[in-house]
Amino acid sequence: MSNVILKVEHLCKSFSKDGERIEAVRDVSFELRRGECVGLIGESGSGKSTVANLIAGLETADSGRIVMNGTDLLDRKDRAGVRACRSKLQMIFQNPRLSFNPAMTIGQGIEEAVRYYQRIPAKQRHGMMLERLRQVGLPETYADKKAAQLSGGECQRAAIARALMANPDLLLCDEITSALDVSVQAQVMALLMDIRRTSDMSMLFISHDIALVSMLCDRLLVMYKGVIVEDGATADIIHNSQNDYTRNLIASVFTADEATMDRWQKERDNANG
Amino acid sequence: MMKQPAIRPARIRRDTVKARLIIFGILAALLILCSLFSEYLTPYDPYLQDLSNAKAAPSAQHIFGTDRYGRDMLSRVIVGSRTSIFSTLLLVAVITVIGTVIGVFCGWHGGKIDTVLMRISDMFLAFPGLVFALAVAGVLGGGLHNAIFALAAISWPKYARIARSQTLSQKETPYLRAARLSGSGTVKILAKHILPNIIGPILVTSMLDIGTMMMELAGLSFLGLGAKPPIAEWGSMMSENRALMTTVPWITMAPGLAIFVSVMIFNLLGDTVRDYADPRARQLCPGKAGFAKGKTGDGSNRRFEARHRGGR
Repeated sequence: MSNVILKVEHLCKSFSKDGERIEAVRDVSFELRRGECVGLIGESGSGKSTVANLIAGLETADSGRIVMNGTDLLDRKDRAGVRACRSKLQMIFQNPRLSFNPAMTIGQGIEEAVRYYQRIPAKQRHGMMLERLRQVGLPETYADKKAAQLSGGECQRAAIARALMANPDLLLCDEITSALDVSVQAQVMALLMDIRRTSDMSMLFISHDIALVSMLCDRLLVMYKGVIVEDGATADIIHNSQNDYTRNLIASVFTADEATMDRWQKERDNANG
Repeated sequence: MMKQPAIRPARIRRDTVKARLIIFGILAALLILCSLFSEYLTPYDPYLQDLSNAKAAPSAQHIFGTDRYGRDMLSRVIVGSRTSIFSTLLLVAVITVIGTVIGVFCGWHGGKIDTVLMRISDMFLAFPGLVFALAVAGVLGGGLHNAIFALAAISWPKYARIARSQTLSQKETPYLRAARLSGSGTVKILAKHILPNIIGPILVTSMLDIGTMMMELAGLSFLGLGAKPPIAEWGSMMSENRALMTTVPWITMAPGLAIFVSVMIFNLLGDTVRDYADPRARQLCPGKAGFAKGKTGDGSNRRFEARHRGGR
């Protein structure tokens, strides 16, 4: 098997809104290798999430190809092949609370991930589910709770457990930390990095938070107005980007060095007289 | 319905609601049981005429008296419960199922079919309910089946509307996307994920509708468009004997009382079920999230509004 898990070629998607045509994704192409973690960054509305939804099959592409493990996911004839391939693809969403059916327990929700793709005896599936809960650092008793009884961070951990349940080759993370507060964000990121170390799963990590992305990802894709404007190693892009938009994006990250802090302190002192 | 003060501790409120639910549930169950086994409960044959004993006043032998043919009113009221209560329950079940199916389909599918079906439901909603039912029953002719059909025709849109809006509110949630990623097909998503999450308000509406439908069905029968004599049905029994109202009032009183009591019980049960299923009450139940909890768009605002509209 080739080393490339996901190959996206000339992907296009447009929506029509109020009679206006919005090209959300324009001719996007990139590759993802096994075990690689790629960050997809860009401002809101740049089409990051649409790319993820297209790969996950939650939206249909206008044109282009999405090849995963050698299978064309947009091939309408090879349904069985596409289904088999999709069973190895999982996604984690932005809103952790709404990621679980309010009428189901967390345990049922996690088991859903493998229920329809694989025939696993209920008992074994239950065992797998508990194992996954432990893996993401939640107590087994949470299996019987509902999403409303968990905190946002716990829900997101459970969502990660659900994604891991399917032993995916490819994990799409769509802004998974943006609804969490900073300390919980750090925990979830630590968990993801842990998972990265122990498995050879590939990840497409979508975020607008460059600090988080650069912490986790080997490679970055920068997206602007539906187009990928830059693709390269994380360090290269952060430190010497060739693209104006990327440079602006990085410059906009809130960082305060000592000189700046001193300057602010002085300004505050002046203001206070 | 009794209004609960808002500051009352959640646990007490919840317990009262639970107690009410049990009481009215038992009463409604008794009523249904009574109608199920009505044949065994009647002291006399409800269709046996005894002209020598016609229009008898209430007595120890005939608690509700007898009608103009000398038939025992108590027996007729008991037997009539089967027609009245079962037709009502059947009617409500039919409109709930049909309305929900149409609503969920419209909400899920969207597009032109949605528009067409919703305009049709708008048409039905535009008519005053009972008048339209009268027209339908009039065109189809009398009879219990046609009365049920007429009432079903005017009442499904309400359910379709609720089911549709609820489905729309669920449609874009991440857990449905997750379900699709897990390989669930449309049917599985609708049955396992959407239906359990939207069924609450629909069931509450149908519980509240039982009383209304019972009245309307009895009304149609009273006007001669529902059950036909000699079938014992409360509405038609009242109509049958209404000429004797001034001379022997107990004959109309018996079925009237029966309608009053059963409508009351089902209405109170519906009210209680609504209180019980109220998300606000659920939010307030002990050990769970409190009043102010909620983020943008998670429904906390809707609950807040509900609180100020008396929970409806």
